[in-house]
Amino acid sequence: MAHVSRFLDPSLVERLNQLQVSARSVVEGNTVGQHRSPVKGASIEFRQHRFYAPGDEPRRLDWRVFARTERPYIKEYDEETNLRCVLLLDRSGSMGYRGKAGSKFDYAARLAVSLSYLMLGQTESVGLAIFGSEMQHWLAPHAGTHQLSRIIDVLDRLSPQGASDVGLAMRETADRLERRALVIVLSDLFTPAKSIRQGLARLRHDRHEVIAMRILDANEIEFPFRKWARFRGMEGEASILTETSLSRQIYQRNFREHQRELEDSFHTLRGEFATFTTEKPLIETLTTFLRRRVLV
Amino acid sequence: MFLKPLMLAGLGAAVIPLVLHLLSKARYRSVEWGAMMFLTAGPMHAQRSTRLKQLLLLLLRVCMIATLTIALARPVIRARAAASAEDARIHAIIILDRSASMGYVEQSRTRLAEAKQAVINILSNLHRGDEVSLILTGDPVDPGQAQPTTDLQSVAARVGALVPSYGRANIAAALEQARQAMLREPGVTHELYIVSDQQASSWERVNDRFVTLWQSTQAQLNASLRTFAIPVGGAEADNVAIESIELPGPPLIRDIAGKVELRLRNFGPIPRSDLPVRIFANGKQVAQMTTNLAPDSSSMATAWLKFPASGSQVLSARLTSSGLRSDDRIDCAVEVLEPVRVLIITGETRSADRRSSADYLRLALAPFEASGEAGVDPAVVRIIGVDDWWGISPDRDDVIILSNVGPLSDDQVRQLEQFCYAGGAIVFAPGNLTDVESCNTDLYREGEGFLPAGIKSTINVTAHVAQADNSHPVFDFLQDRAGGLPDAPVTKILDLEDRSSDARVLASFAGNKPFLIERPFGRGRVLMFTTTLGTDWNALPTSSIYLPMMQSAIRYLAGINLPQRNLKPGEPIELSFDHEPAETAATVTLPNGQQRRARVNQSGQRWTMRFGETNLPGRYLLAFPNGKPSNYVVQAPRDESDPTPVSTERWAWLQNALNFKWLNPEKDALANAVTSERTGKELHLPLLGLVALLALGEMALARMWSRQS
Repeated sequence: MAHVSRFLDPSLVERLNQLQVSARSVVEGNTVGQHRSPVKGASIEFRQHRFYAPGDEPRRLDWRVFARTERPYIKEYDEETNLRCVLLLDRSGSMGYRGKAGSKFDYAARLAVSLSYLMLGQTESVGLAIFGSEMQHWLAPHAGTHQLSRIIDVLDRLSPQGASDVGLAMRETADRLERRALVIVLSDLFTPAKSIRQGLARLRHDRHEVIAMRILDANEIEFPFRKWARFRGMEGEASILTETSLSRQIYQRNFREHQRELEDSFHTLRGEFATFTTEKPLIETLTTFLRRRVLV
Repeated sequence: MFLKPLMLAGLGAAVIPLVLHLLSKARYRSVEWGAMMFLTAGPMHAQRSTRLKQLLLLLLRVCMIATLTIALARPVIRARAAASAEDARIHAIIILDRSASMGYVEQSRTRLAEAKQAVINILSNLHRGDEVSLILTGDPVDPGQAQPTTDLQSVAARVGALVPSYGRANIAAALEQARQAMLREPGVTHELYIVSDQQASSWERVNDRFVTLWQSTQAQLNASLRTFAIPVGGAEADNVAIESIELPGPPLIRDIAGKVELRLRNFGPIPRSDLPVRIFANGKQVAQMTTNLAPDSSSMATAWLKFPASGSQVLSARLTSSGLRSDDRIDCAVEVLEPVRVLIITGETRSADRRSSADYLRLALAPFEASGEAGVDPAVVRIIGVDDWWGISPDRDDVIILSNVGPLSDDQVRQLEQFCYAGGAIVFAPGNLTDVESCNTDLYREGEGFLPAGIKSTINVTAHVAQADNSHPVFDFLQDRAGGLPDAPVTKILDLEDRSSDARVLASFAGNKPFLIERPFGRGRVLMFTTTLGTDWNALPTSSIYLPMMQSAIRYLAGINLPQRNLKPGEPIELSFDHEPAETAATVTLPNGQQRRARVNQSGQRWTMRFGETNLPGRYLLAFPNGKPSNYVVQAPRDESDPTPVSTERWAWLQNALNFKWLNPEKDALANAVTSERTGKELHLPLLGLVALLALGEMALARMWSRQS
């Protein structure tokens, strides 16, 4: 269980229990969950009454029961589906960059586990896709606590290495998903914006909901280096020796341009894009992200 | 060249930035980096510009150190006349203006004080072995004063003791002395300093001709002459001066008011009103007046003064003004006479019921005595008949008036001639008794006699005195008189035939017939009227000019042999005696209190004394052991009273012509400028400025290029 606590420590679990995940759009699922199914048909069967909870649709109230008991109950059917979510986690070499707050990969992995915990706790289906320059591991979405263990096992055995191609990974994910799902990309997105846009477009074409959670270290944004430095690529690129005070402007200009292109792409294709740094405590990242989604 | 060439070894430090750059580049930090795409992305020229910026900053750093090293080595641009060796001997020729204008007071000190300090600063920039020649201008030219000396201290002491002189500065003369001094030592480096105020008159004689000679000397001396001009004082052109003090009328008589005229001049642009002027006699104030002066103008102030005692006296006038003080005072030696001793010799018979010409003369010359009233007469008058002649002498009488006398004996004529020759004065007036032939034969003798003119005849006229020379002491009284000459009718006059060559007409009738003629005769003087001094031929005695004319005439005649007591600097005091004086030596007290002896020497039939040490303006007192002292005044010239400064155009011309450089008289500025001229123009300060600029530029560029957006 030591590897579990690597991703989920007790304090984090306690905080996660107070959060709730909701999806903006309903996707098809196998287990009865909290989301309305767009699929309607004769095979829908009444399953049970459950007490009305704030947020339930009023038209699902069983008025007969209410008249009889003077208490609100709603009807649950077999055809109400759960959320299908795929966590697309970048394990390329750049995710191994370690700043003051630790490595990006560890942060992203803990974020993936936290999200899995939340969703699986709500009987949602969660899957995991690990990619680098190509899709390297696919864990199909399933519900249940065993799925969390499977996810943790996969992550525990991984270390960041190799190149990355986020766009390709997104396209491959689209190929694998049979039904609509929520795809959460956990990556530093150090891939040309055009490729990412193509991947996003593919996912959106299949009507998947896409959330990109860009994980960066503060140094990668500020570029605080002084004097001369030799930058060695973590994904096999050729090293560069440069006087950082002079190359800072170029770096920051390129970074901003890439960031803007990503934001434009996600805005245009109606995806969600957020940037987080490893300095920010994980729970704050989750809280910020989820509250935005609840309000929306 | 470099004053400290060893510092150039520091040029090696210029490679430090390059070494640091390479070291820094070599001691780089190694960073595992994931965002390589942002380092390598972007256009190639952006990457090239990064390299260029690196190179530019490196270049700035290298240049900064190299420039600093060169500045510390103190590079110098060699001046044309700089010494060929560091220890070349220098002959400094200092022209110091100590003329009267250097006494001008500005900010509580005189210009000469400032000039003296400038000279001390010059001397302090010389070294052991250097020579100095000091040329003073404002004093009479002394060819020996340009002798060089290495005793700088004695020169400094001499300069320290200087006071403004009364003379006029002549820069051209001083430059000529300097030129001669330089030509005597052609192989030495000469430094010529001209320390003077900005008065234009000092430079008047530096003209084209002088400049041509000067420039040829410069060419001859080639590179071994440096010339500096050190102007002291400001360009104030404000000064009020007493230009002169005069007694324009006849000599003063004790207790008789005499006119004193002062000429004042305002040289400045500011009008002066109610300017107080005081007059002193023998140190005691006797009058005060105020006067108004328009800008750049003169005016006359007049006072009437009485002197209660006769003899030699000193009259002084003083005013209070700023600027030049030496011309705010002027002295004048005056001789106040006792009443003139007049002897009237007449041929007329005097009676109680008819006034003769002698009576009219007595009334005019001694009116108080003639009328029996109390008062001071300008003359003491005796009247004798021509037949009561018993001898005349200048010891007893000052003026003899021959009024309407007939023919005189040879002895009488001889006595008159001797009297006049010895210094006495004769007034001749005709009348009905005048014998034309005897006058011509005995008194005129074709110019050999004492009479100024020969007589043709007496003629009847209808005339009046129409013209008179009112610049002559006899007629000076007409200047203060309104209405001019009176219209007193004249019915008969002497028609003159010819005149002696030294005769001068002082007044004439309408139609230009002479009325009054003067001539010198021996040491005396003769006045000849051509009409009576009584009423026989005219109505003059009853006119308003008769009294003042006669009084002026006898006062004028009484003073003709007074010695010249007001002198110019250098003009000698001279006395002459008819007989050998009892004392043959006198004491002369100079204005500075020193005393000298003056001796009497025989010259032919006369004895004379001559004292020439009169360069110093002021009062001189000459006294024989048993005699009364006599005052002489050497008046300070007013040549320096005009403070008008040299114009800008003239300065430019002078600077170009004489090739001098301006020097600030302040010690440090003068030292720096002279050192710069000797060694050349130093560049270390501009280079240090360049270093500062390079440093600022490097910091600014590095900051700008590394700034995070």
